[in-house]
Amino acid sequence: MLQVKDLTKKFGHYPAVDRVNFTIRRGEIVGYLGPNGAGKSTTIKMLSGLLEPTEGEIFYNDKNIYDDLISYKGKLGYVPEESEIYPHLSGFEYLQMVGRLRGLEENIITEKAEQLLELFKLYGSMHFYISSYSKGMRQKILIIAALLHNPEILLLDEPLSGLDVATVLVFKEVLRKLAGVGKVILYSSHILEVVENLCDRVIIIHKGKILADDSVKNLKELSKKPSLEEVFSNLVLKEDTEKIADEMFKTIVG
Amino acid sequence: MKKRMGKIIKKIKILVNLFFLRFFRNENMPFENEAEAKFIFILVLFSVLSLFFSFNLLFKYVFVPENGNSWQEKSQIILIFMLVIGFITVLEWDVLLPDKSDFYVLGPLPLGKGIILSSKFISFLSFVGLFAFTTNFLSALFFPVFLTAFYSHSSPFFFILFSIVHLIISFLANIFTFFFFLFISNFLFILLPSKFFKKVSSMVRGMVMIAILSIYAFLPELYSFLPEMVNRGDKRIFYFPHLWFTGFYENLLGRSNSLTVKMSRLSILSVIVVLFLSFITYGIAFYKNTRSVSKSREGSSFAKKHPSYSISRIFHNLLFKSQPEKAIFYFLKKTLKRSEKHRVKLYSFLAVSIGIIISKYLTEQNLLKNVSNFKEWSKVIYSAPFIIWFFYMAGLRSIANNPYNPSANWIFKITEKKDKAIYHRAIHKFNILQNIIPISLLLFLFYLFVWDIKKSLIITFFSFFAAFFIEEILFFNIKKIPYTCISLPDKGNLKMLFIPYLLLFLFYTQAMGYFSYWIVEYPHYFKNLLYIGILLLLFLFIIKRIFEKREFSLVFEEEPEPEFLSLEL
Repeated sequence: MLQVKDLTKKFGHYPAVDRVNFTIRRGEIVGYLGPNGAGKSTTIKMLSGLLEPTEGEIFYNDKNIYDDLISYKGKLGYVPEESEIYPHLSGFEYLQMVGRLRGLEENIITEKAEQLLELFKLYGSMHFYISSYSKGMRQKILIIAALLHNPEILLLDEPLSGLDVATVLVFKEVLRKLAGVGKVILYSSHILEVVENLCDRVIIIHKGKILADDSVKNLKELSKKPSLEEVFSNLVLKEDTEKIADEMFKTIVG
Repeated sequence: MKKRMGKIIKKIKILVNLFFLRFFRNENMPFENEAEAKFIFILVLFSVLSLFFSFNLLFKYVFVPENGNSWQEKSQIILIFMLVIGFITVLEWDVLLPDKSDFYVLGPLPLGKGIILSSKFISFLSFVGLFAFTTNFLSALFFPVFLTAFYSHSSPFFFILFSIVHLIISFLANIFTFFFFLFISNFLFILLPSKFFKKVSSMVRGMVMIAILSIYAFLPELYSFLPEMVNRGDKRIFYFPHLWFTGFYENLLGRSNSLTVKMSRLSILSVIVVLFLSFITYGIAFYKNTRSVSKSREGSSFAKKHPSYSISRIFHNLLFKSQPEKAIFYFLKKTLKRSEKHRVKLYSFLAVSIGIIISKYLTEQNLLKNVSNFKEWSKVIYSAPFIIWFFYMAGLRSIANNPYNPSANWIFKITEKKDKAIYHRAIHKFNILQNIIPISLLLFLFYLFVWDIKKSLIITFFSFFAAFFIEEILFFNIKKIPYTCISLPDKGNLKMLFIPYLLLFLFYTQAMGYFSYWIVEYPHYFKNLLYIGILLLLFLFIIKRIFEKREFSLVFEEEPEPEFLSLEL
């Protein structure tokens, strides 16, 4: 169980994440929604141990992660928002490096990496440098790298960005299966439709604060809206979207 | 038409500005303002150095009259500035051709290839031109001040003419050098498949830099025989390009004879030829690059089914205690192999060491007189490997602070291990296996050429130990994974410790030179040294065991030094 208590991150005086609380149980896929700059990636970076919180605590299985951050990181699989990856390594070399850094045995790394590369249709390109990969190919490498060591927790920040439809469908199914075996999954995204289909629960964050934390069904019922898109729009987008679009159009056309 | 030209010029201006700024604002220089300040500092330094050189060369004319022999000083200053411009051109020549980021950023914009080509070229020319101007400007004042009186027309008008001639000649010599190296770079690019160019280019750059530094070190020797050759009318003087421009210089100042006329013609012709060749080759290279950059797909040649795969696996199991250690080792190996910026910087350290060795050698003996006694040439041969090791290891340590791609470092942060000895072991193994052992083998081959196998083995073994200890000292307290950490460009403590470091270096090379002379000439003492070496190794082993237990976090971004250390002391 991953538990977040009063988690806060300030950049200067500006709170990017402001006293956030939530819990993700084993086997649960939680969607993390919010507009740009809402604090989604900052929360995920704190959960991954890459960013230290200004205030608040993170617990995994009732233990503060900062008591033994290194062993906590060993249980994590993390897909960052930006596909930042060493471009001078080939896809296979990168996976080999990550597997070794995770302490996996050589034959396990090779077997798993090759199989996953094959399944993700990257086998033929695995010896090319990442610098020559497309965005989607880099994203696939990041996903494989996050799954290679069979992590207990999966922190996914816009994982489907740049992926083709077939891969998206496969990956969603993989996530369901992983949740089925008790993984803790936090899924951050802008794509509401995917979150609606995939997640058991949705957390909506805006300006660093949590606005809603419930199942999609309950949220729809409570706000009396037919879709998650409208629930989201109702909670987050106070402005008249049509009016903004109109003004934008006028600015573009001149 | 006029409107269209205006638009093109405007675009070129913007791009020139963009490319020019990239000389200081790149991933090597994360602190932009400091990088620009540093650049200005270097320019000022160059102008002061040119003043210093001019003054040193010409001061004798305060006491001794010039009898038509000042061409030597003129040619020396021309040569020095040609070397400076050559060095800078070679150091930065890869910026001339658009890279992948240019392709992605500028590709979709409505910019013709000609606009990008011209902008790249103008920005590089301006960059080198700034150096040319700062180095030549002050000397253009100094030379007339000291020498006008010795010419038949010493009027104020002649003073101005002298300055202008000096500037023109220096610029012509610089233009010749710049375009000559440009031609070499482009020619290589056209000749080689794009895939190999980067590898070959960095090697060629390293060698050219070594050659340039060697010519600089060779200056006193050159001028011990050159005047005699000129007086004799030896035809070999035409092999020295800086003399062509010196001849033109004298010609323009009115000291004409058949030799200066010939030299003048040769200098003009050489500039025209290199201009023509470099423009033609630049155009071809640019179009080849545009094609290859968009299509290129580089990859590692080491596939799984490679026959040596199983052998390397056995080797891995013997060599590495853990998987993370192996990961770091291979990350370092591949980064140094594939990152040109790291390799070129390392080669420049190596170039300095070779320059020092040649300079030391030339001060000891006259190469041209003793060239036949090659096998007995100098005592420098004893200290040479230690100079190389000092600079090479310092270079390795220095490039360890240059991050390859800081934004991708998160993978090391997220997989950080408690046992930090893993990182140290990987770094030491990389330094020894990938650097010390291969270079030691090369040194051994060189010594085999000079001495017999016994002597060669002794000095190689001794220098290997020295390299090993330098490596241990320089990387002993490292708290970062090389090529990952963003480091501050100027560490205050290095400035403070510069003089002790220099003294230490001088002491080290002298002492090691004597030591190696002693053990090579009296090999029976070698075993004594071996015992000392083993004792030192034991001591080092114990110290390392103690320090290995320390706990620390890996550093990925250096904290600024305390204020007092950053003072300009």
